[in-house]
Amino acid sequence: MTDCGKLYNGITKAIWGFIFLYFDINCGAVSILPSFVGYILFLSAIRDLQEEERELALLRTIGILLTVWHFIVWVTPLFSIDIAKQSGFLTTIVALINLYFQFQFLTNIASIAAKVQPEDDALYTRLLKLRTAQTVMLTCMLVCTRIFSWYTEVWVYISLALGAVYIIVSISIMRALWLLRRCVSETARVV
Amino acid sequence: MFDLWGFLLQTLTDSGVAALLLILKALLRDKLPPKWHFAVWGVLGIALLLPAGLGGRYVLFHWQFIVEMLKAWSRDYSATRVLFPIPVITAFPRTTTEWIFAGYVLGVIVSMVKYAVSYIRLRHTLRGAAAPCAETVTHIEILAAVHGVKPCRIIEVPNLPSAFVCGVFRPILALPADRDVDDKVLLHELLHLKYKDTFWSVVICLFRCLHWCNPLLRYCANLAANDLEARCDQRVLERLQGEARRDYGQILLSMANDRFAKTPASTCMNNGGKNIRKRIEAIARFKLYPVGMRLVSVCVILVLICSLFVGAQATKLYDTSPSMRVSVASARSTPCTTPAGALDTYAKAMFAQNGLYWVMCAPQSMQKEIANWLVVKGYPAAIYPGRDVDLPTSLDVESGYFIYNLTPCGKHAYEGILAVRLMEQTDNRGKPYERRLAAVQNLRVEKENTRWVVVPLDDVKTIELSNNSLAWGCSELPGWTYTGTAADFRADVTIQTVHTVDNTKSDPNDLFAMMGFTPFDTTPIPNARFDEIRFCHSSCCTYVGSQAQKANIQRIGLSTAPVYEGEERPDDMLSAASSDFGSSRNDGASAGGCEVSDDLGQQTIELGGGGSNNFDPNKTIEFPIYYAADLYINGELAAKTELYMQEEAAK
Repeated sequence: MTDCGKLYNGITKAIWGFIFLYFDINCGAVSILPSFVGYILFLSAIRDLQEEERELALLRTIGILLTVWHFIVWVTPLFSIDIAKQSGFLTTIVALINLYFQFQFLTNIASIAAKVQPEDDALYTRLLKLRTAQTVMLTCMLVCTRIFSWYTEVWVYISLALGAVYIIVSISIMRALWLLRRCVSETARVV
Repeated sequence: MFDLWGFLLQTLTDSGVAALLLILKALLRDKLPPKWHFAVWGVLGIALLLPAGLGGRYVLFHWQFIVEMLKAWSRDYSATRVLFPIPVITAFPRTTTEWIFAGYVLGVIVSMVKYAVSYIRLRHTLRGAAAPCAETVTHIEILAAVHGVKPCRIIEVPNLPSAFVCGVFRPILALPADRDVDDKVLLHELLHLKYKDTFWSVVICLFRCLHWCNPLLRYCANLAANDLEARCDQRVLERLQGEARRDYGQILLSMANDRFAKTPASTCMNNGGKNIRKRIEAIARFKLYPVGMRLVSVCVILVLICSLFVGAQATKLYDTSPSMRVSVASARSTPCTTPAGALDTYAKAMFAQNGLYWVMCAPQSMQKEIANWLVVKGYPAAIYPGRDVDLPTSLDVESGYFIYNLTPCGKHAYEGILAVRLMEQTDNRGKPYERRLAAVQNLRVEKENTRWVVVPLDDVKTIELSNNSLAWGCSELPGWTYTGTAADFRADVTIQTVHTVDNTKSDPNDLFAMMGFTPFDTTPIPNARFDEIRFCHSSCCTYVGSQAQKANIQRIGLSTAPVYEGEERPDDMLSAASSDFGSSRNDGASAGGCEVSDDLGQQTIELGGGGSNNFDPNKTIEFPIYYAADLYINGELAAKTELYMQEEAAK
């Protein structure tokens, strides 16, 4: 049976997780919205949501790895070390498992939406579309960073375009999750 | 691969890719379908086919550094390059490393012969086989038709442990003669046939032979072969329902014989006990992956390909090692990948008096001498460009360097002049002398394999400057001269090009940098691009008329404008009628004039100059076809003419 309280908490944590992941506000060399906090929130969300969607549990291991990596990336600039720039090998692995993590996390959230959304609602389809958009966007960003970063003139325009898409997709995902949270809240009220 | 070092570079690069794939596959083991797990080996396949160190880049780890260290220890300073990833012996081996390489090549041949023999033995076994009965053939043809497989020749072989497909171009489905084969096993083999898996088996075998001495790559080859079977298992399971899936696992369990497992161009369902255990685990995890999973599978592979094949370029020199051999190896593995990068590194080798920088941009013919010198002396300043020349003062680092008249000179080569200002000379009381000096050297920058190198064409010379700065032309250095004659005057325009690289130190935490004081960065930028090219021009007139006419001339003025190919003479030339001051535009047009002294003879009258910087510094220089010139005498336009380039180039 669906525990609406847990679902509500899990989705709230996922929304905050995306806020920490997508937005980056720096104070000097330190980010005040560190990504590793976003992953901790995702892990906590997975714990709350895994009863509803068993496959989410498969993401726990790579979620922990991503948390550790992003914590290292966050903390090392304090000691004037940029670990992300120095380890191409690890950066590549992290980029790839993050791509999968984001894809699967949103797929599973969409499955939850399919269970709790009203019959005439298209939240499930919308979340799947946003998942696809996010995967394509992340892939484009990773590919373009590697190919076009050599050509400074082109890279300026590409990064501007990708940045605009990034903001649109991130806000859309958060809005869809917000709607899902509302659905859960209404389901809980009915129950 | 022509030598041991080339092979080492290739196999280490491929090992890095293999390690990355193994970690990624382990992390995504139960998350992505077997089709992805096999497809991702394609990335390693591409890495095995692409020459390592292509374009001076490295993949994941800076393997070139390790190879150069090994070479430095064996006192080998030859170039390490991989043109294609197949070993070739070009000469009879003489040195130890050449014999080791020959041993490796022999190993490749032995491996290939071993696999060829096993394939021939298999074909020999199949030669005497008979066709199965018509009922079996019909049954298999119906099964093939149901699953959309084009049937092939079928034979029955006695004492065969299991059914398998053999051959790439004319495949044969071999069945055991002494027992019935389950439909699921037949389906497995038919699906191998449908997806041409025997071809992949050959490819895996070839890579196994090429890297026979690399255990990691051999392990990956075995894994890839197992993933090929797991992919086929997944396809079978997708076509089975309920209990049939469990039966399929049980059939696999009963197979532990691997008699034909590693035979090239064949697919045998039973590929050894350990592998079958892994496949059964995969079957236990079996699920129908959603269609959306294809997207992330493709995206992961796409990002992998881009990350691995765009690679990275070594730009940071590890010159703080206590061992000079290690520092030399680091310098040798940090090549200059652009002409600007090579010139920048050379100039900074002079500035910083650092022989390691010179190693980065020196041609192959000079590498051994420089490296030996550095290793023997043990400090970077033991050798550097211009060390033998006794300059009056030291180089003025903060003024930077300028590359004059850089022009193409053959394929992948340029020649130009490196100009650096010298520090001011002072007298005994510390008062600076008025004269300004500069050090100049003719250089040739050319592409040597994948790296750009600098070849000095002469020694460093000292010249006295009439201007304080070298930034916008230097009348003491040569240029290209355009000449024309009109109204008893010969008009000359001399142009010089000045290429620069942005070397301002950008440190966000540096207070002085924030206030606009950006010191010159003496760290080489081996992949630098020119940030600016300045076209500097100066004009002058020489009276070539009769002495009788010269008394009438009080004032002379000259206006010039460059005319490029396809352009017409401009109608908006600057006026040189009255102004005593020179004027110029960014398109290269300029005008200047001056009063003429009484002793006008064959004397040259300097009429000023100008400069423009609105060109792409990294493209080939386009020179004007001619200069349009308006000559003014006594404030009146006396003649319009064209100035054409003299034949000899600037030297």
